[in-house]
Amino acid sequence: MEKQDDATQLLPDDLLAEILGRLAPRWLAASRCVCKAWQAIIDSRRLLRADLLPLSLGGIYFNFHDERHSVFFSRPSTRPIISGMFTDYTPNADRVEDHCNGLVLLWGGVANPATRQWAPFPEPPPPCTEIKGVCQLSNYLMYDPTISSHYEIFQIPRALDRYHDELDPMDDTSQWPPSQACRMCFRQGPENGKRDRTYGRGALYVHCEADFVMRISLSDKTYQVIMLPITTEVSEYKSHFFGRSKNGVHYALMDRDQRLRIWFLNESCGQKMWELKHDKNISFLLKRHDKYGQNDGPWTLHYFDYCENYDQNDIDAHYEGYINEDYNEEYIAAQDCKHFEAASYEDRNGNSIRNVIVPINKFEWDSDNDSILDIENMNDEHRDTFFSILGFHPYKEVIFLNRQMERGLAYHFNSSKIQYLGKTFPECYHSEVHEMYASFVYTPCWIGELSEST
Amino acid sequence: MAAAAAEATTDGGGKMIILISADGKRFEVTEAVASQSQLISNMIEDDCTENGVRLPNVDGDILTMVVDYCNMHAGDAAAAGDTMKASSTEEELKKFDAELVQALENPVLFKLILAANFLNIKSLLDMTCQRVADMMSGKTPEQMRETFSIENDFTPEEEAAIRQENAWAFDD
Repeated sequence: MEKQDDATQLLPDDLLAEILGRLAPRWLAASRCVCKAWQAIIDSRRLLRADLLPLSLGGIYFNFHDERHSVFFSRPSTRPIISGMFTDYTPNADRVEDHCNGLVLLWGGVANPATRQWAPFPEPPPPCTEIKGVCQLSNYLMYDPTISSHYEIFQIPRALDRYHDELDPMDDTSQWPPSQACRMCFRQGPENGKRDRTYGRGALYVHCEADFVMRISLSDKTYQVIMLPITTEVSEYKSHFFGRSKNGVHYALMDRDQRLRIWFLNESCGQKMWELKHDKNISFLLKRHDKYGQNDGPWTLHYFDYCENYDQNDIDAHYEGYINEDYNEEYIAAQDCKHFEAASYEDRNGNSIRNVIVPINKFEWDSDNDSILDIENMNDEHRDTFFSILGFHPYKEVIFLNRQMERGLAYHFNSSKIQYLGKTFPECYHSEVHEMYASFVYTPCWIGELSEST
Repeated sequence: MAAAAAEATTDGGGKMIILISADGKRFEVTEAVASQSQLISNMIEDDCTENGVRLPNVDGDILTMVVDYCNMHAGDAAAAGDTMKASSTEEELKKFDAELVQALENPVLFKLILAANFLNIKSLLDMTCQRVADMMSGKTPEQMRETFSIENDFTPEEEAAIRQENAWAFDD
């Protein structure tokens, strides 16, 4: 009596493959679990290419004040090298403003560093008169290649300080309809100042300074306000971060005395509850750290080096960039146009990209790895050292920390293990001039054209 | 079917061709309408449509839909030069297409896919395959099985293992 009308059995495999091949990766993965016949069709024809999806960590982009170019802190990988620089395939748009699932938002467009594709923005809809002059617009990128190849850009107004009081956070009447014209979606959310953001479960989460998170649902274009688990006093000695880690949305708060608290937003059962997952003083990390502080970690820093001699043909130095003998401050201040052009020109030389040195150490949580520390017997405190938070690993219970603004660490907050990743501060930068103000954890997406370099 | 045949004549022009379904039903259509099927188009070129075209794997009720679809879309190619006409009917065509596949029971939809494949009508095949893909999208494996009355032939262990291979797709 089963199979009474399994109509799909009418279709030959070729036609079933034709249908399944139209599914987005997420639904294809689901259909692979339906029955053996479907699984065989999907597997034998390699319809599901999970290896192209942004399911692994590629590195972290950093922005520094007074720098036009983002710095890329690259995780070692067996995949083709991803250049953190955009000079050779974008029109001089080099600072990452946002990242979502392998796409980065740059000034004037969207780039995919893995496939080296670039798409300029369409003309944005005119801003609503209601907010003109009151708010600045911040752009947010939304992209989920497991569901759709389309990306969306949200512009969320940010109140300028003097008008902040005039906006009522709970006033739903201040919304206006999303513009269909160019896939820019508008929604007024009351917020101010620096924001973290993350994306998951069909919603954009934007962290607003006033201790709440705005959850914007993509399906019905509504927003919801979620209070943070703790009232944060804004202080320059504190670092907090809101983002997606394993299983969902997390919020981390680092106190001045190196107490790190991490909460998980439990969204199951229809409710949204913060659960405290980590509450520990992590100053113990500092003592052992100095032991290997002199060495480079497994990750590499790719950055645009203004101080470099561009006469050489080798692009490596852009990435390794440890040349600073000729460094002087005027050079940076000038940011000479000629140097941008020279760099762009040389970067088009595709062959040279292969020469980038990749450290062989793998970033894995492997007990054989020397640089993973056990927390036992390390009680020394270094209260004058500070950590800032770079971001969460999207698929592991790992938070990335920056020690003294110069050394990247991966901290496994479930097992309290730590790994030193590498230097996060370009050697030709000046600590007085260059302050990091933003970081974006990057997950490469290889969907689209793959570059030939291997 | 009578309606379909009558509609066919209103398109006017060109030779008429008789299509004969598996159950012996006859459809009279113009060459222009019929040649949207690459299969029939080739037969027309080879001059072997004189005594009607027998389609032994297409039932009458399915062929009715195919003929309706071809009649509706016959203007496509003809009106390609006439942009005004093409754009005015685009909306109607979309509506017609959507209504054609929307209400179909699964077995009928799959038979229509088979017919479109056999007759080699690319646009109809595209549309019907997309319809099935749309029915799958957003569903869990259980819901897909339910939608298409498919028996789960995995053991619970096997299914768990297969899910684990793509855990990212089941994290919600």
